[in-house]
Amino acid sequence: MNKYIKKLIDKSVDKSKNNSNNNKNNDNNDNNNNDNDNNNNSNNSSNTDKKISTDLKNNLNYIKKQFGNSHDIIFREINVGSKICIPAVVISINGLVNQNLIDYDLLKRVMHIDIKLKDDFMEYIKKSIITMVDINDINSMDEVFDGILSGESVMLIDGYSSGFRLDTREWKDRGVSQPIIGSVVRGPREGFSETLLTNTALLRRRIKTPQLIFDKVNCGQYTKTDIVIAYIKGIANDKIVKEVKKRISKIDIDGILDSGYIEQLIEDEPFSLFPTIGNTEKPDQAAGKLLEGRIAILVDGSPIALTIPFLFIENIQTSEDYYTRPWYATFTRIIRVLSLIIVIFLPGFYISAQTYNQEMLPTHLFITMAASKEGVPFPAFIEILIMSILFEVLKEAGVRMPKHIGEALSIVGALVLGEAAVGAGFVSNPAVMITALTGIATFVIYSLNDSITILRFGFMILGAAGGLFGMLIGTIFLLLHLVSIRSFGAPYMSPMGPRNNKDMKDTLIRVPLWMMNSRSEVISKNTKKSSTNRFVNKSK
Amino acid sequence: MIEQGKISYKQLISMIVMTISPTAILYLPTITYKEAKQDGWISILIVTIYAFLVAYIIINLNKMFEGKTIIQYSGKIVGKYFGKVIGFLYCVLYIHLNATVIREFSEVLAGPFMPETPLLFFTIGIMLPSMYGVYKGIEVIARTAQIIFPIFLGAVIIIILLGISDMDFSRLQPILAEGYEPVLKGASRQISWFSQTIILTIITPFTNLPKKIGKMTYIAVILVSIMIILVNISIVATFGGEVELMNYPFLSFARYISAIGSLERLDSIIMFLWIGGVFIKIVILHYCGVIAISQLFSVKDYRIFSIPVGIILIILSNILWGSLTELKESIKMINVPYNTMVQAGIPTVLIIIEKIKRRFVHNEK
Repeated sequence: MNKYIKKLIDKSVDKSKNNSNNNKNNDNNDNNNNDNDNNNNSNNSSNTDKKISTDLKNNLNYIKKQFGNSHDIIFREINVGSKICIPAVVISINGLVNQNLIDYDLLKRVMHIDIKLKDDFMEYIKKSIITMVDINDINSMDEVFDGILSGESVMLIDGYSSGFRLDTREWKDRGVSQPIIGSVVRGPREGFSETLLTNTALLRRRIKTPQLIFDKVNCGQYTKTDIVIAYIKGIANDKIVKEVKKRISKIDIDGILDSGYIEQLIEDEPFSLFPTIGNTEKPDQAAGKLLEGRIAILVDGSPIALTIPFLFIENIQTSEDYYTRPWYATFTRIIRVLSLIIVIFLPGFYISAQTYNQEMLPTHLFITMAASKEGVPFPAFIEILIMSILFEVLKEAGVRMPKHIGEALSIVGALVLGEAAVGAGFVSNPAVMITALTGIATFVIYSLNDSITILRFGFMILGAAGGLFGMLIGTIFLLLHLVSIRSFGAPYMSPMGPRNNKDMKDTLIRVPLWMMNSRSEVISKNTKKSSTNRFVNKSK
Repeated sequence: MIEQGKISYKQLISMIVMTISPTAILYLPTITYKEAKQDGWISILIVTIYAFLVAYIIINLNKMFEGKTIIQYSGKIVGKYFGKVIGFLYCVLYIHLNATVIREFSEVLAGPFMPETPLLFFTIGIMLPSMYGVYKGIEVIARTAQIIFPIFLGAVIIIILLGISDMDFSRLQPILAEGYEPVLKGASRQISWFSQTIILTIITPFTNLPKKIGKMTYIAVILVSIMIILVNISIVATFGGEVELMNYPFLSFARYISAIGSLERLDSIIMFLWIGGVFIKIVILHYCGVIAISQLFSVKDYRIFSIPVGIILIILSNILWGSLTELKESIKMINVPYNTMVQAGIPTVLIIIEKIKRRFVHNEK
């Protein structure tokens, strides 16, 4: 496991080294010697030694040089105090800040009030003059740049080697809207948005205990993405939390653009078809997983949260299962497992039944199929292969194409292609029907979407080459592989693999909520839930 | 890599049951019928007692040396040279037994189902996942056994239940018509299967509850014998005297049921579930063979042997027997005595020697 991560880390280390070399060449045209020295260390301002100098002009020049000529950076030079007029500058980025806040709570207060010069000037300004909620001291240039770039405003005062960092963040955001992939009939419809603070707030609204811990780390050399590791202290397994933090701290990459990057860089089995880290776009689902003892990772800029550890059985569980009553929930789970089996095995089964094992089909059905295959020039394998590839092309086109063309084209794709193919004698009707059924069943379980598509093609080839025996060997391989994976220490196929009868309450069947009174042992050490024994209440 | 996996006792039960039963279900009814006629089930009861004895001996032998396999501790009992000889015998046992099982498996698949396909296809087909399973280690094998075991058991029970309406229990009579001799003769043919608890000699160090192994093994043996007795009774009750002529009575039983009523193709479905069971047996024996070889040559990483041993098994299962008849004759003539000697005889001798040694030392003190 570590071997793969080391390779990835080495690759990204080499990449970043190359980048710093390139930037060295660019910056050699600079005349300012100071800046050259600093740039030789790294290619941006991660100079931990550089302090804020007491000369405001120095600071300003340095900052302006670093930012080049980017026009969206505002340098507002002011005079602190209406009588004492000490020069100061407020730096912010247009588009990332709420300018009203700066105007009324900072500039107006600092410029118009008669501030007396005191010994503890910075403290005095912070505590008595500036009326903003979130304000921090900063002492190094690092923090200046961090602050400016994350949307906070930085105030530097002439003659003092420390400054302020004020949280004035506000930008245009998608807002809390309904998620695309996790739509439910019953249950909350809020989805995560791209802003980290919004997402953590959504989680806090649902879990109101101080034991919900958010640990923030930084990742990505250029993007410096904020990543929050969320867990409930006392329920989550501390070893897993430590392991997650360790793996994230080892990531050395240019930029993290989406939580998918983090997922691929810290996962246990990078080469397996099956995901060992879960995705969710809905805060109630994430909160449910946190309550089971799992760990959630929220990445700034991505509406999809990661959950760790992730077991195979979670693929067939959705949040809606727990909000509806047990009978229907069990029924839909069985339907999901059935569609999983259909997607993986049906095309291969059809191919091998047509080609080798004709005795597997009931006689009547076989006669009907043979009749519809009259005049079709291709063997069953080529038929199904063509139709499956066609279906994948249609699916991909449907995702990428602009909306208004989409509706017309889907009718073309579905009706015309299918009907015309059969009419022209390319493929037989059973093949079209099987491909359509398989294609639709693929979407029932979204988290396994990519895995089962590839598996489906694999089993088609196995069925064509080895008949049912070949498919059986493939199934055994699949089973062996699934059973051997671990997701951060938890066996992937538990509670069926290493059998744990206590956890079987929530697999294929979903027992009523008042019977679910323990957490799974492989996830959390704290297995006792506060149980809701409704029969106790009734007897009272 | 030194094996670090640990298997729980439930997994141990499934592994033992899956080691003994799949081929036993397929072959034993015919073998016992030839000798004991309709009293086959009595001979199975007798063999169960023998199986308990063997399991008892093996478990106690293992208890004397906690955490070591027989290859490692046989040297301590009889000296280094003879220890190596015994270790070598066990390697050969596991590999030869496995080759027999693989050949049986390929014959069963090829004969009734796909006669045109060369046997090598099935052999290689079942050995590829086996090599992968051995490479992954005992935990993976145990978990897979735990998943397949209920399916296998359920399939056997469902088949038997479906066929109840056709059973004529008067075919089981007369009971003990010819006395005890044929029953004992029939029992003597089966002992090699039931002493296959020998796999315990290799697997015991990898369990995480060494105290409970005895109880679990006895439960497994009881389960196996119940299953085989039920199968035997139902087959004899359904077919009577024709069992002698059948190659694979259980298969014919499944086909007979599917011909009645609207459940077609039942025999194919049963065959696939049975393939899963035999796969577990093959992979466990493969694993035991690989561990035995790696400990005989004191190689720490047993995984490099998984592919070569697999290839040896493929070749052996191909060349040792020319045809199904040869296989059956060889099982009767060679396997039964040879397996019994190594599986039951050697542990008995070893435990006697060890007990004498310990009493000697105790007396000296």
